[in-house]
This record gives sequence, structure tokens and C-alpha cells, in this order.
Amino acid sequence: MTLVLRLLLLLLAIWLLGKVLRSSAQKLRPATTSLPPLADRIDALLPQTQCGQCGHAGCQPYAQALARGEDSINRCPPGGEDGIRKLAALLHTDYLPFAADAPPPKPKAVALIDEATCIGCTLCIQACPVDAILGSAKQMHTVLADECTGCELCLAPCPVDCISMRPATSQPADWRWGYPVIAIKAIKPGSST
Amino acid sequence: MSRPSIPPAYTAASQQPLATLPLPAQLNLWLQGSRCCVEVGQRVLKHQLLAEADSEFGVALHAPTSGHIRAIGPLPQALPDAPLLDGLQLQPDGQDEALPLQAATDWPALSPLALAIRLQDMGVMGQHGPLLPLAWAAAAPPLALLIINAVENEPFLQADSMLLREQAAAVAEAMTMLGRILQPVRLVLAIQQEQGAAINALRSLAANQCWQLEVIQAPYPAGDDAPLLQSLARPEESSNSLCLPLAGIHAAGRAILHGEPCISRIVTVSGAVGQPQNILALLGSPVADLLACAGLPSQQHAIVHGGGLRGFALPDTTIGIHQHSHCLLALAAQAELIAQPCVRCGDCASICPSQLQPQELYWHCSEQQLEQAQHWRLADCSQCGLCSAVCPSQLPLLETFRQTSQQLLLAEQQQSAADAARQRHRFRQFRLERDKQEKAQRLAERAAQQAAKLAQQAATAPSQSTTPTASTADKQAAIAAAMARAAQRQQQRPDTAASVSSSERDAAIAANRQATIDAAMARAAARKAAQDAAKAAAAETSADSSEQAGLNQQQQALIQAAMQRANAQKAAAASNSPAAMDEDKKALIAAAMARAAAQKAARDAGEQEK
Repeated sequence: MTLVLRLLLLLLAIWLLGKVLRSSAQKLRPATTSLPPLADRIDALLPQTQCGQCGHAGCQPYAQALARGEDSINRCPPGGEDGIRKLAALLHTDYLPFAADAPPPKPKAVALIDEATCIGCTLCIQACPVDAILGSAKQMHTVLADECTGCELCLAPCPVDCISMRPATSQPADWRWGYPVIAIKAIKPGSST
Repeated sequence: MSRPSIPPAYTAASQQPLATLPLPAQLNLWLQGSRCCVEVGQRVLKHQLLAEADSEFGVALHAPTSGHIRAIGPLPQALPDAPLLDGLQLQPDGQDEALPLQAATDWPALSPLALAIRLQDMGVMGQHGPLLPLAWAAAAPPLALLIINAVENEPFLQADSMLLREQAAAVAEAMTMLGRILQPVRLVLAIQQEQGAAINALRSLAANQCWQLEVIQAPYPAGDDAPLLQSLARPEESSNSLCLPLAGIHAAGRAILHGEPCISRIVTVSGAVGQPQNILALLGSPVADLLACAGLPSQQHAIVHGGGLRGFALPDTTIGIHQHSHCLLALAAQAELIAQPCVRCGDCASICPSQLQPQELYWHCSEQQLEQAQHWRLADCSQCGLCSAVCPSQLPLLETFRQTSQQLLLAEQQQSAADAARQRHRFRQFRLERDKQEKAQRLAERAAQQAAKLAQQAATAPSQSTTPTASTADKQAAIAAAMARAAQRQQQRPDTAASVSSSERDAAIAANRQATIDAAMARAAARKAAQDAAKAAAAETSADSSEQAGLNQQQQALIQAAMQRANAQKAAAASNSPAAMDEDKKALIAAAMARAAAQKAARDAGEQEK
């Protein structure tokens, strides 16, 4: 009899504890609404070149496809391997090497219009996803180098092939400290230290 | 790579009088954010403009002496690892022929911006770019506190003390000039306790002046701009105060009061040289000349550019000095740096002026874990180099922190560039959409106007002939409205079509094309089968008519075979199209086929009518 009573008491205690835990979990849950939607958080990690090398029309559509789980994280060459790592960390997936069919990553470059050849057709202006090309019909066009993302979308439409990609100019501000390298010295085995 | 051990803070250099460097055989100048306005081979005079600033952060460059331009192009510069940057080689001709200096007398009337621009044109540099940042001068906020930084408590540095001793009057003049133009509430010259001779030189001048003398007693790195501002600025002043280097102030005084561009500076040459001393050298003088002037012994030395703690090794001694070259050190080549593992002695943590944990920070920085480094407050590191100097394991702490800080900065810049690009892209999408809608609206309005005009014409025409009725006018208006509505709908339809993403549209187009091809193939197969059957039938009938029944059977078998073949071909054609084609595509194909059939029917009907 006492055994049955004890068992019943134990079950009651478990049930009560479960209730308390559940209600506290609901109350103390971190506010998920404060986080922006997943697609926006993915979009914030993408390099925003809007180049379409991932097969989508821009960074935002790719982010939406990733959020829906319809594409893999290794399709963004401008983001580089660092970008893949960040995406993997955000989406709680494993790091993936670049897709075999994805174009290889390139160093950052900026479009330059050969102003002597430009005929002022405005096709590149219409192709530029970030409005970094300035000009009007039958007037010479030019690229705002600071705004250019190096997406290369203006190269294809140019009827006179006057746009070329140049590496971003080297300025004193572009100079970098090198990673400290320490010479490794071979120590002969047997020589006591 | 060798490491300087912590040397005594003040060495014999301060006891020596200021020396002047004999004219070098070649000057290697650095075009820092400036555009060259001379040509190779051209003869230039002293003080002549060689390059003018081409950006907000560049400064002009003037010829330090008369001579010929030998080369313009990438030259190694006095920066870590001696990167090749735009430079200019000037070969002096020894005559030192100068342009006449034009001293401006209108300087009290200058605005802060005009002063900043004039200083930029005179080639006077501050920490980064022109002495007075142009963006700051253009905004011209009220200045509460202006600090002239003459503190140098990094080992070996002597140049500012020497400048104060030699040119105290000129510095005082320059400060008075700056005080009059910039109108700071408080103008302070910060100096260090140990610079005794300089303090004495200034005390006599400081009386009855618009500036005060502040003697700093805190140890290194209290002389950096940020700690100096923190210690000297009162809480209400901290937001609008400015800290300027002493050498820049002196050069500004020369430039504004005497019209003389900045072409030289004082360099401390110290370390293992014969006679440590301060040398007044023209900008662009090769490092080797300065070392030779101070008597460099012949054996191998590591040449360090900068002070004893933050300096970096220069691989090449032909590099010319620039406006930030305040010190050159020759250090006896030590045993090669062999980094040992961290022994967790905690020396670096106890000496760190920013209260960081350099050993933890080093671990994360060497692994390039930027987020962890940020978490351990890498941003607070002033890169003073004390941790490196005390590390018993000789870990390259300072080098690692510098490199990682720059990586962090770079990552931040990339992020802000990406944010800007995202904003531009979104705005472009919004703009295209808005343009489309505006165009649709415009067209609709025009259509409505035209309709209204037509209605008016229709209304006026009957009024001339017969009695105008209100009902016809109403009807015309209704027609016009309907036309306008139709036009609007017409305009909106492309909108909705365009809003379908381009990939879907491409897929639809491809499916449509595939359907057309399939239909054409099926048609061709059917035609071929029919032809085969007809041919076979003709051959059979012409061959023999006696065995009619048997032949008939044969013919029928042939026809059946042909039909089977045609069916098989049709099936093959159908299976050519991707089997996994989804319902949308099938529907599209069906629609396309139906459309084709309808078109054909219509064409046939038209022909029949003819």
C-alpha cells in the first residue's frame, strides 16, 4: 500500500516538475522575434557583389534560397572560403569546399571603361546592379571605382568590348602588415638544450 | 629579423648639438597621395612644387634642393617590408638654387579651412595626411582644446626635444599663429618631465602667451595622442579636441609665416653608431647617408626605422626618409629570433597599459580568429610594443597584433562596402519599379486625355449639326474611361510578368522551345510514316495485282509496321523531352501545342476563305 502511495507521490512530483519546467521555459525563452529573419541574416554575410555567379539573380535571392534550404552554401566565389565558413556557422552545417562547377574566386577588381572606345550605348549602365556606371545615351560612360563591386556583369553587354577589369589600385592605405614569420632552425638531435 | 632589447630611455644623442646632413648624392622622395607635376630630366629649383595633392589625404611635395629629376615611379619606401610605392628620384646639382619665398602677410585673416588647404599645399603632414584634416577644417567645429604633442617617451626618440631646444621661438610663434586662426579655448603644449632642457627653453617663452605648458609624468605610452587627450582633456572638452604633432606645428609655422614649404626634418640617429646625434636632413635623404653621418661601424647591423619599441626593420638603406621618419636606429645584429612557446609568465599582462591579456590575445590572433580577438579587446590595443619587449619567450606579440588589427579593420571596411552595395542595389530595384509604374501612369493619363479629346470632338461635332445630347457625352466619357483602364491594365501586365524572376522566365522559354521542337519532331515522324506507308502501298499495287488478297494482307502488315514505327518514333520524341518534366512545363507544352493547333486552324480557315 505504502509502495503504491509512494509511487503515486513520485509520479505527482514528476508531473508537477514537468509543469514548472515547461512554463518557465516558455516564459524565459529568449525573444526570437528580435532576430531578423534568417534570409536577412544570411544576406548580411554575403559579399553583395550582386554578380549572380551562384546562379541566382543577386545576393538576396541566394540568401532566400539558402534560408529555404534549396541551395548549398558553397556557391559564392566572391565570399571566398571565409564566407563559406561564416555561412556554415550560421546555418549549423558543415564546411563545404567550393562547388566543382562554381567559378574560382578572384582577387577584387574594378571595371574600367576605355573612354576612347565607348560609344555611349548605356547597355552597361542598365546591367550594373549597383548603379556604379555613370553616363547617358551617346555620352561617354565612366565607372565610379569606389562603388564598383567587380561583378563583371557590364562586360558581356558592351558591344565594343571597351570595359576591362583592373585590380583595385594600390594606395598607401592598401598596404598591409605581413603575418609575422619566425625562422625555424633545425636543432641537431643529441645536442642538449 | 632581430629584436631590439629595451634600451635606456635617454641616450647620448641629446648631449650633442644639432648636426646638418651634407647634401646627399640622391634624394628618394615619396609621392604620398600626390600627383607628379614635373617630368623626368627636368631641372627643378629648391622649393619648387614637384607634386600636388590629389586627394583629401595627400599632401604636396616640394623640391628639397635644386637638381634634376632622374626617375618617377615605384620606389621602395620607409615602411615595414619596404613596399614599392610611387616615388620620385631627384639628383641634386649642388647649387641649392632656390625660388624666392613669398611670406604671406594676410595669415591672420585665414579661415581654418583656408589654413588647412594652405598647409596641404605646403606639404605639411600630421599623423595621417595633412596636418589639419580637411574634413575637420571644412566643418570647423568650435575647438575646446588643442594639444601640441611634444612628448616622446619611446626609447631613443630625441627629435622633438631637439627641435624645441633649437627652435623654441619658432615653435612659440607657430603656436600663437595657430591659436589666432583656430581659436581654441585652451592651447596646450604637452611635454615630458625628462625633456629638461626643452622645458627650460620654453618656460621663459610661455609667460604671457595664449598657450600653456603641461608636463606629463606618466611613463610610456602616455605620449600617444589618445592617452594624452584622455589625461589632458576635461570631460566637457573631450569631444571637440585635437592633438597635433610638434614637428608638424613647426613646419606649419615656417609655411604660413615665412612661406617656406616643408622640405626637411630632424632625425635622431642612435643605437650602435659612432656618435648618436640628431641630424637635420632633407626629406628623401637616403638612410645610409644619415647613418654614415653619425658614424656607422662597418659590421652588419639591423637598421630600424622608428623608436625603440615600435620601430621596424628596413631591408634597404637606400630608402629615403619621409616626414614621419623621426628616428633611425642601428642595432647590433643579435642572435636570430627563436620564438619559444608561451610560458604563461604573465609579464605581458602586467605591463600592458590597456589592461589586456596579451597571451590570450596572441593565441587567438596567431590562429586568425578575429571574433575571439575582438572578444579579448584587440581594438583597445594601442600597439605600444611593451608586451613584445618583456616577453621572455620572444614571441612576436606586437607584430601579430598589428597584423590582426589591420585584418579586423579590413573586415570592417569590407562589411561597410558590402552594406553600401546592398543599399545601392535595393535602391536600384526600387527605382526601376518606380520608373515602370510612373511610365504606366503617364501612358494611362495620356490615353485618358486622348479619349477625352475624342469625346469632346464627338460632342462638339453633333452640336454643330444636331442637338447635343447629354447621353452621348456620357457614353463618350465612359468609353474614354474604359480605354484608360484598358491601357493601365496593359501596362500592368508586363509588370507582373517581369516580377516573375528571370530564372523562371528562362525556364518557361526553354520549355516552350522544347515543346515546339517536340511537336515538330512528332509531326515530321508522322509525315514520314505516312509517306513510307504510301510508297509501300504503291510498290505493292504496281508489282502484282493477281495475288490481291495476299498482297492486301502484306500491305496491311506493312502499314501496321509503319504505324508502329511512327508510334515508336513519337514515343521516342516524347521521351526525349526530360521525363522528370514537372506539371508546369507539361501544361506549358500543352498550351503551346494548343496554340500552334489554333494558329494552324486559323490559317487553314483563312486559306479556305480565299
